[in-house]
Formats: sequence, C-alpha cells, structure tokens
Amino acid sequence: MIRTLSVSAIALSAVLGGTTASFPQELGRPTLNFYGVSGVIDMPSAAVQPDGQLASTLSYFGGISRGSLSFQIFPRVSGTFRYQGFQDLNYAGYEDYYDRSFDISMLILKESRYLPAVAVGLQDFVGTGVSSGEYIAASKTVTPRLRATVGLGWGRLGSDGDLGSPFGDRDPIEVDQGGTLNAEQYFRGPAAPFAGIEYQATDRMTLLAEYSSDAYELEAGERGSVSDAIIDRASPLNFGVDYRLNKNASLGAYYMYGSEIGLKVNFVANPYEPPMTGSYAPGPLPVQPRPARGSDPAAYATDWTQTPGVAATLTQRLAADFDEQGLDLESLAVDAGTATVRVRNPRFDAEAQAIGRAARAMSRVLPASVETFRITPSVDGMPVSTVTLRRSDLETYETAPDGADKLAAVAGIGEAVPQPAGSVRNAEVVPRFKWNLGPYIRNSYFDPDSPIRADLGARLSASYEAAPGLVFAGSISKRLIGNLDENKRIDTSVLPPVRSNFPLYDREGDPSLDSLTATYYFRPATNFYGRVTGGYLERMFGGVSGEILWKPVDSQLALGAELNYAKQRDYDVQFGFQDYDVVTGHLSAYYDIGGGYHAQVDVGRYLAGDYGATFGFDREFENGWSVGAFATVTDVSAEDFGEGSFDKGIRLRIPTSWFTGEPTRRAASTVIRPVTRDGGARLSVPGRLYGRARTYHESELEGQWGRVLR
Amino acid sequence: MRMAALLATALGVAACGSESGQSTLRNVTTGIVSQLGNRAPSRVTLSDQAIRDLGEVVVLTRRKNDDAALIMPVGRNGTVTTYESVDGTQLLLDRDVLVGTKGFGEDITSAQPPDVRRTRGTALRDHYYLNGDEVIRRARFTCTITDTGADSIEVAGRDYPSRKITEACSSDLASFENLYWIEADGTIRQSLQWVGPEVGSLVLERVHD
Repeated sequence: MIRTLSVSAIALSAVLGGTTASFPQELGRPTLNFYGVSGVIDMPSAAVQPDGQLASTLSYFGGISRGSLSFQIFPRVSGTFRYQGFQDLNYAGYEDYYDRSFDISMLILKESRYLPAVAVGLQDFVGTGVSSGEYIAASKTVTPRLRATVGLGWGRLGSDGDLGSPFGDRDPIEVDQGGTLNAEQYFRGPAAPFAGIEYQATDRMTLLAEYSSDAYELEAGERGSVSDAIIDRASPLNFGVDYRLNKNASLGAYYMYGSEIGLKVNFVANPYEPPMTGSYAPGPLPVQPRPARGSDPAAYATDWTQTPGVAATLTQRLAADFDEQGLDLESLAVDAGTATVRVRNPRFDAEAQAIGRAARAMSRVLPASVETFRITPSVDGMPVSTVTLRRSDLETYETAPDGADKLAAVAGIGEAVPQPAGSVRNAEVVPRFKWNLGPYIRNSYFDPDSPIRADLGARLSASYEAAPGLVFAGSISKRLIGNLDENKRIDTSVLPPVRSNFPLYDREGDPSLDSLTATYYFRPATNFYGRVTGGYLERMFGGVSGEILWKPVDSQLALGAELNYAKQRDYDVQFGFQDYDVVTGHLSAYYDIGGGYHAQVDVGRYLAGDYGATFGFDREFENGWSVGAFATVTDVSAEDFGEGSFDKGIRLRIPTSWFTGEPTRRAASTVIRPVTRDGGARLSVPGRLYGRARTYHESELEGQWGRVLR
Repeated sequence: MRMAALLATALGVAACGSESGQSTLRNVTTGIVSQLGNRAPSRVTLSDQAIRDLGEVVVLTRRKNDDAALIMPVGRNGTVTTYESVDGTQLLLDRDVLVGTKGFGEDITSAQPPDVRRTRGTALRDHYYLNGDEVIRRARFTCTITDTGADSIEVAGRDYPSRKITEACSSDLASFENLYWIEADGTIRQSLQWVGPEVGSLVLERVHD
C-alpha cells in the first residue's frame, strides 16, 4: 500500500520552494555545454543535473552544429543522444558530414566540504567515432557563485597539449558502420588536461571561461586531405556568457578558439516540476454521506432489493453521474450490501482519480445498505483489476486530514472479479461508434540530404465496438503539406527491405489507409490477457497477430507471447500486398524494477526473418512521463545490418496533462532511431496487451493515488 | 516551455470527433494564459440584497488578483461543507475553516488546522499538498493565535460585531497570517485564509446567517 512519507526539508522545499519565483542564491542548475552535457563551454564538468531532467541543447560555431538530448537517468548517471552536422567538412565522401552519437557520464564522487565532485564520461561511445573521447573531471564550488573544473581527457578530448599516454596507444578511428562499442579505445592514447570556471555574475547571467584540450584536428584540416578545414583553431581558450531566460530556457554567446563566434540555446524540462502545478480541472461530485445507522435505522433497510426493475433504475442513474464525471459505466450489479461496477475511463490519466470519482458517484446513487463498492476498470472490454472500498471509509476519509493516504490503507486492489449474475449492462457504452478527425505530423530524421523532414496532414479515424472487447478500427490520412516524399535515398540492404524502403511508402502512399483492423481482447483465465488482431496492422504490413500476456495485479513481472503472420503492403498504402511475407513473433518479459525503472526483453524472430532479442529500459514517472532506450541484437552481422550495426533508439512520452493541469489521457510520444534499417525490425501491432493490462494494476494505481480524492 | 507545450500538443489541436473532452487547444491555451497571469479578474456584480437572496452563499476573493466569485454548497460531510463556484473550483470548509481546495492547481488536498475559535497561543497547523512527483506531503506550520479584540465588520451591507483573531504561522519555508472575524456564537463571518505560496490567501465572506 501507499507508504506515508516522512517529511524532510527536501520534501518541504519541493512543496513550497518549487513554487516561489526567485532563483536560488548559489549556482543554480549547472551549465550545459556545447555537447549538451554538464560542462563549461566545450569541455565537460563533474556537475550533475537535477534527477529526471530532460534537456535539449542546440549549439553552433564554425560550421559545426550540434543538437543534443540529455537525460539524467539516475541521480548520478546521465545519457545523451546527439546529432552533429559539419558544414563543408568534405569528409568520408560527404560534403556536409552528419554524425549521431551517444554519451554517458557518471558521478563517482559527490561534492563535499573539502572534496570536489568527480565524474567520468564517455563521449560518442557507440557512434561512428568522430567525436569519441573520454574524460575524468573534478568540479568544486569555490564560492557560492564560482565553480571551477579541472579534468583529463582522452581521444578527442586529449588531442591538444597531451601529457603522454598513461594507458597505452589508441587505435585510429575507423569510420565504418559505427554502432559498436569502441571499448578497446577507452582511455587509451594521449591524455590532455582541460580546465574551466563558471561564475554566476547575477541571478540570470553566468560568465564562463575554459581551456580546451580538443585540437579540432579534423575540422581544422590538420589530417591532410581527409577533410577540408572549416575552423581556425587559433587558441585553446574559450569565453562566453550564459543567460537564463526563465526556469526552462537559457541562451549563450561565446568566443571560441580565438576565431569563431558561438551560440547556444537550451531548454530543460523536469518531470517533477510541471508548468502547471496540481490540477485546474473542476472538482468532483462530493460524497453523499448516509445518515448514522443509530439515528435512522430505517434508511438501511434492504427491502429496496425487492422493488421490480430497481437494478435498471440504479444503473441508469449511476450512468448519468458517471457521465458527468467523464466516466463510462459499462455495467452494474447490486445486492443488499455490495455493488460491483465495470467502468471505463476515457478522461483521467491518473487512474486512481477515476476510481475515486466512480466511488463518490456511487455514494450518491446507491441505497444506504450497500456498504461495499467494488470498482472494476475495464480497458477495451477487458476487466483488468478490482478496487474494493468500504463506503463508510469513503465517508470518513473524504475530508479527513491526509485522507487519501488513509483511504489507501483500507482499499483493496485485486484481480478483476467476475460481474455477478443479475448485472445490468449500460447499452450506451457498448456497442458504440467513435470517430475523430484531426491533424497529424509524421516526421523523419537524420537523412543526410535533409536532417529533418515532416508531413502535416489530416487523419480520419473511427472505431466500432460491437461487443465488449470486439473492436473494428481504421484510419486514413491525407497529406496537406510536407516533404517526406522528397526522400530519394533508398539504402540498399542484403536483408529483405522490411523497413529501409520506407521512403517509397512516404512517396507513394498518399492518401493512405494507415490501418484497418478487427481486434478481439479477452481474459482467457485469471491473470491472463488475450488479443487476436487481423487486417492492415500498420502502414507497411498487414496480417494476423495473436498475443497472450500473464500479469497478476500485484506482480512486478509480466510474461507475454506474440505470434504474427505479416505480409508487406504495397507502396501506395492501400489494399494490395507485395510478395514478401514472414512469420514473426516474440516471447517477452517485463519487469517493474521499482523506483519508476522498467526493463523489458523480447526474444524472437523479426520482420526480416532474423532471430534475436530486444532490450528496453525505461524510466517512468508517476505523472506519465517516460524516457527510455532500446537496442536489438539479432543474428544479422554488423556488416549486413549496415550503418549503425544494430537497431537502437530512444523513446519519450510526455503527457498533455503535465502542461495543462487538466485531466486527459492524451500524450505526445516519439521514438528516435539514429538509423532505420532492416535488421531487428519489429512488426508494429496496435493494441499490445502489456500497456493495457497494467494500467489499473497495483503499481499504477498507487503511483497517482494522491489524486483519488481529487 | 510554452513553445514546447504547443509542440507537444500539436497533434491534439483542432481535432473534432464523437468523444467529448478533446478541447486540448483550449486547455493548453488557458493553461498558458493563466500561467502568464493576464486573465482579467472576475467580479461579483450582484447587489448586496441580490447576494443575500441566494441563500447559503460565500463570497470568495483571491487576494492576489482580486478575483471574486460566489460559491455555494454542493455537499456536506459531517462538519465539512464543500462549496463550489460556477467554474467547478471547490473549497472545503470545516465550520468555515479551510481544510481543502480543488481546482486552484496548488491545492491543499487536506489540512488539519488548529481550533481557531478556542485555541490561544501556540498551535500546529498541517497542510497536505500534492507535489510534482505525485506524492502528497505534509507541510507543518507553527502558529500563534491571538485575540486582537472587538472589531465590527460589514459583509454584504450588514454590520456584524465580532472579535478579530489572528493566526500567524511559519515554517522554514513559508510564513503567512490568517485572520478570522468570529461572532459571539462562533460563526466565522469573514476570514482571510492562506492556501499556498502560489495561490496566496483567500478572503471568505459568509453572507448567510
């Protein structure tokens, strides 16, 4: 159950300090450098960003532009994905050279009174290696406004002013497919010192100076004819000023390497600090308490159960109250002491809030003798859990100090109970036809000819649920404006072109039948969930898909199996198919590690017929934010896979309610893959079970239980 | 962040369909506008008599922006009454002492205030807030409650003889002062009660007798 958290100064400062407008007096959020990691200007530091912070940084100097996305994965570990462009570098066969890279850094010693913070970092450790470098840095807050950093760099960060090679020689960088760990290079070769200072001149302005150990050999054209010179590195000294516009954005201007003007902008967002604190939505229907049994025993009589049609009348009244709260009553079964409802929640992203609203509506409609409320949330017709509340607890704790916590202690969360005999179904909910017309954006990144492409268009989607769990759905889209069809680059592949030919679909598939499916969701047994889907599953494939998931309500572990037969669709994204077909499927294990960390392993056969496994790791926040990474290794060799060596990427989900402070189940989600190739590609089946089943399971309900009385 | 908000919800903008609750654009816009704080304060334009004719009603004024609204009871549980304004914002008053808010954003989810009618001297006050990490945490304040003497006040055109009670509260992180004008029978006729650093204090005028 929900643990009562002790009050610490930190907790209180989160309550109160987070809402005060003034900036802290000491150095605030540490500076993000040109690579988008904690640092000074171009060099890293040992400072750490606030836990959970997501930062995006854009920087430019001397024809080098960098876009970085950094995430503080753990309090001491941060990861960065970066896309760099080198204009006119004329390198490796490209006039403008583009490069994707990943960094990771770890704080090994926290700053204390006498000792500095110490961090180690790997820069571009799985990329093509152009920016590869490693460092160890020490940073100390000398005065509340002054932080100094010294460090030792290897690789790119040890290319100027080195002190020798303490750990042996470094093999030369090979620009091949990239994507492999350059582990034999780490901390090898010449090591060079760097240093920097950050001085917070005013609350908003920070002055920066550093001594860089990066020689910019490649960019200065010092490797002969390998590349053209695009910058003149006249000095190792960089100077700059960072100006904080507000809590979330800052701008910087710099004088770089004695010759270039540099610019930087960064945006940070912390899931723990929503722009809109709490909820701005209308309050709930209050609990309607019953008269005390002693003073009015007649109110508790149970003869109402004998009234003909009483269940239908109560169902109708409850459905109306649910509707007012944005909930859908699927069915109600009621006897003298217990009411069991099935409810759908299209509105509240905080699951407990939906449960709380349902319970309060029940207190207003059901006769006084009904003491036990059993609320079974239903997702696509599948009952996924049952929350049992005593009506008297609800009455007692609705307005009590710390009432949500007290209610948590007496609420039961368990496997969904079967709907008792005599249950009355609300015909308004199923069958039901739904439709939606709205805009869509489809984008593609990292094409060397045009790093960002996008289409904007209109999409019409509709669904019809004929019986609980039996859903027919489809969507069509029409592009209005965009340039995805200009992508002429089709990467050749020795594998069947299951994903790499996506530009052909973008070019020819307009208007497109994005999906058209029939799906049946069901509960085959206790703790088990099932799904069968057939039709046009995604833009590139159609077929049939079956899935079984085991996920007990209180379990951190879930296991799943999925088997699909898929056939590749025609490029026009209409009804036709091509010749290529494949049987693909996976066994999956999902584990809720705790603290918001989730791991997933999928082992099986991929679209190109390759066998392997996908490893995923996500950090989920209670408010619905999620940041994660995944990687797939299959029996396809790095050489056959091509650029990137294996499939990998990062994924991000930001709930709309985080911005608006109003309940909605909408969210912005994106997956960023450095390269889209054919190895390790998974069929994109709509309606996978894990995300559905666990929605109202213990950990999710408890995660936002604080909103149960909201 | 505002740009990010717009980008993040770009897909939800201007959609229409069979389901309600899709006014994402409006939500984002009002969110941003209220964040900018440019919203004109709403006023209560009814005459004193017209307000009196409404029955059990409380005039709620936000100290911060003079935003005023009439709130009416929508539920009663024991000694706690839930009052609601037309926009759905709710206040939970335990015999006119604030024990909860809903819809202000930085809401008091629940509270344990001292008995301001009887307690004089030092007392503890607990507020519970939902944090950005979705955890409810307690903020505990130490308060000094003082009777500052008789003070007749006017509410909706009528004078009420009452005593003015001050409750000065502080913790490491915030301090505020609540004021209560209490009549001889214990009715809190008017009060100034603090919600949080962002929302500030609310003026509550009890119109009905």
